[in-house]
Amino acid sequence: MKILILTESAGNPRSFPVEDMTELEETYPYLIREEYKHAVFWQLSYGNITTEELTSQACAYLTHWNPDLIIVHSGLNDCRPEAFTDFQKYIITNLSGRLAQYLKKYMYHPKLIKIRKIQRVSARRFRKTIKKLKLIFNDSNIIWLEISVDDSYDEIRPGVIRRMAKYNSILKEFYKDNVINLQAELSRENGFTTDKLHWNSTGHKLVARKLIEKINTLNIT
Amino acid sequence: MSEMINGRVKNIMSTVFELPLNQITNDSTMYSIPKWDSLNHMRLVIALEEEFNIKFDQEEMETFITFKIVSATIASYL
Repeated sequence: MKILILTESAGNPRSFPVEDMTELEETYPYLIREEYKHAVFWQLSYGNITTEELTSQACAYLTHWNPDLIIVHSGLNDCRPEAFTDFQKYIITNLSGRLAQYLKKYMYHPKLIKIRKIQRVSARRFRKTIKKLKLIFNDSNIIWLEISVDDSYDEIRPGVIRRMAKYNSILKEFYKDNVINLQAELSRENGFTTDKLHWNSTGHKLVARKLIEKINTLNIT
Repeated sequence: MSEMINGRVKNIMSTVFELPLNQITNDSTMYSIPKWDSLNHMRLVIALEEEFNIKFDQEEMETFITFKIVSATIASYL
């Protein structure tokens, strides 16, 4: 069995802060590897990446590999509200002087995010990207992990919960039962880290368990 | 993937890369087609945009390295 895992930063271990430390061996991709020791894996986990950037790597390099299963966790970086565009952030970050210091303070300010509500990737473009992935890997089973954050993250990024629901509905439009619901259980079992969007070891175990349950229904093991 | 889209893309590739149609396959890549160089890549993009009435952005154009990706990208617009 060939398994391709594509994730944003949540698939990575975490070394800070100390209370959120998660070892590599506690991450859900590692736990999946332990469960399916006979499988061959290829994993790409990349922080702050959009879904298009993430999946383009697989589309460009791995179509001939024909994975039996693709596990994708991506979408938060596409949908979460921002105060500035990537280009504006780049300019602000590289400015010097008082104006720069002033603007840097507000790069992630909730009030400014609430006013500007910029998103890195439109819903239309997100839909196109996930449709394209399905078309290119039409022989592979694709499981998508629901975009999820703790409810309280909405205080840090006003509007994120609503935006997230919209993008999750787009995922379900294409992937239906192969989108694994996570939000409610992660919140209930305190599976989020203190930044409200990554997963602690409890969260990773929960995700791994739900993934294994799903994979075992697909008749590819 | 729609066979109609595949067929139209293959026709275009056959013309741009000056290859018989039967030599453009679902597994064709820029590495398997000798005349798929940077100039013909742009010609391909222009021909595809005209054929399907789509405007590709720079990032998308750069991902067009296999037949499958080209065809799937077009299908994702339609």
